[in-house]
Amino acid sequence: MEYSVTPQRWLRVGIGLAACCFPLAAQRAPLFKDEVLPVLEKSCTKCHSPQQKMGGLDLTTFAGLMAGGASGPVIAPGKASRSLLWVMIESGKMPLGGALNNAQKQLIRTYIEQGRFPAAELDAVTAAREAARITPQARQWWSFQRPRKAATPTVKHPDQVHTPIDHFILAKLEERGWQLQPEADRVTLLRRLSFGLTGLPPTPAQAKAFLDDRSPNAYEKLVDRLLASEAYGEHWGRHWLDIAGYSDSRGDASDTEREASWKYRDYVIKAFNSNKPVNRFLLEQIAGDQLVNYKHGATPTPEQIEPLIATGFLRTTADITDNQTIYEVDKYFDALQKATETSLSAVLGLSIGCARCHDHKFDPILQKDYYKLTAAYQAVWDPENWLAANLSFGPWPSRMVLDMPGQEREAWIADVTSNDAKTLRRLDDLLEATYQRFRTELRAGRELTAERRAAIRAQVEADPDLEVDRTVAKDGPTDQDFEKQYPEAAKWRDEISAKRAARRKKQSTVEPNFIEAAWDVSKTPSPTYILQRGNYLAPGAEVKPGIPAVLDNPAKPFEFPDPLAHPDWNHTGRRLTLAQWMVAPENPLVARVFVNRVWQFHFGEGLVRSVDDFGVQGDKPTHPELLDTLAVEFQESGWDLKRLTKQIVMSQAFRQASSEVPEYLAADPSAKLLWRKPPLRLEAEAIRDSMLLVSGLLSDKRLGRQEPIKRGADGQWLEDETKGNPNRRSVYVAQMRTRPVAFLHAFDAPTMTADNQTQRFRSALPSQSLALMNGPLVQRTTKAFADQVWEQSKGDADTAVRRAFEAAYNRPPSDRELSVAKRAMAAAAEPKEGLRLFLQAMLGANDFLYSY
Amino acid sequence: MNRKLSRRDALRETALGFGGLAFGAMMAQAAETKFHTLAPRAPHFVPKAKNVIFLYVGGGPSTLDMFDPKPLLRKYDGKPAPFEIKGRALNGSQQIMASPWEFTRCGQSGREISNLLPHFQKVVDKISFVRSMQTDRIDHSTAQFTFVTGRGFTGFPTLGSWVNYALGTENQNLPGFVALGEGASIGARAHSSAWLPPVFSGTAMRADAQAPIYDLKRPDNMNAEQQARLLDMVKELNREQRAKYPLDQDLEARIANYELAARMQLEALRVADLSTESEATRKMYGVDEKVSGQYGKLCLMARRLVESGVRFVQIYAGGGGNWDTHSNIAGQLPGLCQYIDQGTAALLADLDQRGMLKDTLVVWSGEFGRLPTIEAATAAPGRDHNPYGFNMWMAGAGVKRGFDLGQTDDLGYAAVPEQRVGHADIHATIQHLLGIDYQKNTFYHEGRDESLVGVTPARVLKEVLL
Repeated sequence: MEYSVTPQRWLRVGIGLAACCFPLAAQRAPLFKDEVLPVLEKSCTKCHSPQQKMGGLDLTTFAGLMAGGASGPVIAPGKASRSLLWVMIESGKMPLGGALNNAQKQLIRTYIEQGRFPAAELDAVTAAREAARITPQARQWWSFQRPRKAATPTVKHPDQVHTPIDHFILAKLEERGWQLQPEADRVTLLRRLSFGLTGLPPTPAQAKAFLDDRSPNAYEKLVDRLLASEAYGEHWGRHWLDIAGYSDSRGDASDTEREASWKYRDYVIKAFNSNKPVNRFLLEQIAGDQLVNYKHGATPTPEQIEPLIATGFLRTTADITDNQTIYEVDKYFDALQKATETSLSAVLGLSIGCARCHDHKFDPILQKDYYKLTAAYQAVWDPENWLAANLSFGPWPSRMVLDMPGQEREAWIADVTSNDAKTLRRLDDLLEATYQRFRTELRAGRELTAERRAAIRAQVEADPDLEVDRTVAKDGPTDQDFEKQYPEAAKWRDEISAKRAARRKKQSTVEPNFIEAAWDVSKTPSPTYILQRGNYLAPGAEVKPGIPAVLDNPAKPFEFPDPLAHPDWNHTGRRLTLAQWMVAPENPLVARVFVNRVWQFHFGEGLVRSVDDFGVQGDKPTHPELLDTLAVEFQESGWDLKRLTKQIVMSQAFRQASSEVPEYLAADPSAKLLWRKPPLRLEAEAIRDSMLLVSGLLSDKRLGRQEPIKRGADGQWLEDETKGNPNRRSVYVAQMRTRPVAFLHAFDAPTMTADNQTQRFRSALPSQSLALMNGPLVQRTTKAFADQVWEQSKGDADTAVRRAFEAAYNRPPSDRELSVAKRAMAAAAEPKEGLRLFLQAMLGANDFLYSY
Repeated sequence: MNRKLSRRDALRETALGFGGLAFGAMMAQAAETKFHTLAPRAPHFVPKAKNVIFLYVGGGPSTLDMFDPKPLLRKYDGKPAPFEIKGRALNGSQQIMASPWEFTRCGQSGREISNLLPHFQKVVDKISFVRSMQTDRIDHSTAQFTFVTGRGFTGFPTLGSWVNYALGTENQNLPGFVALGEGASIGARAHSSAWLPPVFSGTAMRADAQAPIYDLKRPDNMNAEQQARLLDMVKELNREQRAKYPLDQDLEARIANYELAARMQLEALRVADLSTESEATRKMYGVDEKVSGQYGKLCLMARRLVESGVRFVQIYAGGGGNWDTHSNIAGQLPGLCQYIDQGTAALLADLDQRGMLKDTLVVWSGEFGRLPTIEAATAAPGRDHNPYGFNMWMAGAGVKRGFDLGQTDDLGYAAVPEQRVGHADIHATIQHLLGIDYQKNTFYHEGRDESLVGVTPARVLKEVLL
């Protein structure tokens, strides 16, 4: 950061002016070998030598100096203040042994600013450095090779296998003399499959249908039924939303709610349910706008709407470009880079984030690669042609596509461009801020006299850039209380309503219909530069869009088309080109990464355990041939996800029991070799949804705007039954980054404060027990559950307990369990109250919380 | 750090050498299944501090008006500044405003503290000021992210989570990292663990003796006896699964957690019940005072939490835009100072008299300070954000008493360049005092070993340390 003139500097400038003119004029550029190197040798090369190479830096040669170190280049020719070498010397941080004297410092500075750095030599140094990283050996890394189908291994116990997958698994186990477990019992299998495919347990009727079906293909029929159910898309859509980093809030200072994010969520759910080919699914999400040639500012045609909604994938990362302050620009770059990094790591499985500041330390990913990839996205988030995330953040046009018929659209745009909407928003904020301060005053024990109220109002109004935190709890009086008590407060509210009414009259009565999309704002975005050490104030060489060098063919480099050669294009074509490269059959990573994620959601871990890192630091696949075979078959099937899913769940690997075998467990505790199907704690959503389902509360309303949330009595966030439906599946409940629903949060639902979360934690924390002991969800579900079974069994204790077991566990109670339940009912004042308590125990027990 | 040589693996090694096959299997499973706990862990070196209480004053407190008097401001009061003062607005006012309040020379250290802080004046000898703070962020959200996570953006773990990750906590019946009070404008992100495992995240707690933590209060329709019965029944129902999976640590932990939760219920309610404190203590913290009572309660709770073995307590001082005195600073700041003054001073004095200050580090800071100029010429002017120079303070474990590090210029505008201290230096110093090598406290995330300080140049502020 550049500092403004402080008094010390101010003085120094005055004194310095006279002193420095002279020597500057007399200076000439020092020579590296004769003048600069001796200084470096004296003070620096003890550590920065070819042998020591501290910080990856070798200062003994010109090439070493120019190659830079672990933090990237240390010299920006002509710009001392942007050269790490100078920054470290000037700040006194280097050399470690003691500062250079002024003459030495001046020499280095003059050298950087006026020294001889011929472009050709610099390019040669860069090329050498890059070549040293992108070696033939680096290209040989397993995940950079195109996957090939392997021959199905033979096994000694063919009776143990169901599908080719099992051959790969069993062959490895047999190497150790191990075996697969026998098939799990039918109830376990039924629940496992039901949770795995839909995130819900089977209803008693569904369970009965399966358990009564003694045909040899009963299991397969069950698989087909579950894959065809709409609950499948809700559950698997949720998995993808984790990978995409989906949230219903924006992640800005006050974490505002997003108006139209739910359309992308619905798009994802529908894509899974309709079994949209995954290559198409990826293409649409990364470049849907370009697929349909959308033009910036246009009203979308009906065919354009879905692909535009799909690009919501690129809009999930936090956008904090809300405050119009003097340090805005790096936030633009951050938004651009986050969107690039998140979408690429989701699909490519490489951690490219490191290369934002320097060449990747471990993987052969160059800093240049990072910026080549960023360039593909630059026309959407162009730091020199910025669009605000939405209207609260800036003027129209903002980063929303208006999906409205012509007249309404024009009227609405005319309205917002007259700044009316912004004024109204500010009015709302004024009211909110005023009440917040009222509450603060009251909490502080001060009296709210009329003068004090007026003064507060005046202060709030005088604040030109009000920041309102709407997450602050409304302890004490409500807004309505203020308006009842203070006449002027009611008047403020009326004024706002009046202005709102006036606005409605001015434009059409239809609410604006947005799509939160990503599209190219222009065909000629600003150039992309390599940012030295990731600093936007230190742009280095310009780069064109491209793919990582290590994945490129040096003989025939991958090229991005020139959009200007395509007059009919309304866009750069860059993301589309990138996405097409990704889903091309020869891409070594994308199908593998996707298949591995699918595997992970079924088994808790991927065949490559580091699901986001297929690089050198990541884990190697436990079953490489299996992964490759599945990936190739997936591609060949036309990226048919339901087919892949069926392939996996039909296998004995999936169907085997989860039993513990101490000998295997000690040697392979997390079942890397798949000697069992490990038990898994259900995800937060599955637990909540199951509680609602078994208690008969679960709503079957699907898709649409997110359900609102509110603060509960003890301060926790939960479903707002006064404004919405509290009983819908969790995927439809508003997911706010800073206001997570407490129950879901306790069970590790991601808040997306980081960008995305591709693997859930499965923590075991006392807060989870507290939620199941005292929380509002368990209270209302167990009450409904008890009411329901009591009603159905007409007050017969035995029948009630049996029904409860069928609903919650899909099995009858054991004698012991039955007697525990009966004791509870006998001990309570009312048997139904005792039953309720027992049902609460059922919902809190491991039988309910796990898929075995 | 090499990923392959983690603490988890070390744990596995020793476990396997220790017991039989079953135990080995159990431990190995725990080691390999990303099982993170709050169990206490040894620091890197002998620590000075065991616990931290972080008084986080979000909104940009005007430290210039609180503890950094500048006589030169009187000379320029009402006149243009002698050099350009930069605020957020491109054409911000250049008119100097002297502090409207008197300062009093206090204690043996003789430092001048504003009369807005009469209680604090009495404890000023216990603390070290860092007077040359600066940050590179000028708006609240990014400056707050910077101050608590080391990065100017959302999505990184907070100081308290890093400390918990490194050290675990002493009392397993309470969370290791507690966030008290409402009010960081960045919300729960001010105590989130982001991509560190959720067990290290801050738990929000309130000064409410009935319901200090979410879901802690028994529902109205459940008495203690019923709850005990509930837990017994859960145990009964889990028996068969337990028999089937005798080696499963996760199932085991979940069962144990009910008992832990029940104990936590008692423990947290006990800590939140301030009525057991002596009358003298309650008076000292002013818990029944109208203005300062709320904050006093939080401070008293913080002491009780630390006493009970909680590693890291973060207190938010007032919510929303409270400290953000863009206008009418003369009207607003007295109340804000009154709100925190008594509780803060009582906390320091109380910790000291109980001998707890020697291993508890108390840190006080906002995300930035405020300018010596007025923001706009209005009837009731205020001050704009000042990231160039502001004050923070530390006290307790391993920190000198009555010491000042660095200074701002004579107008209180910018930190003297050679003396600048940034958030990374503070993060390094706090970790150092806790016995954590801030460069070694790393977590593997997205291809790299991340740390709180990261690549930001940082140093331990040795001058401040005993």
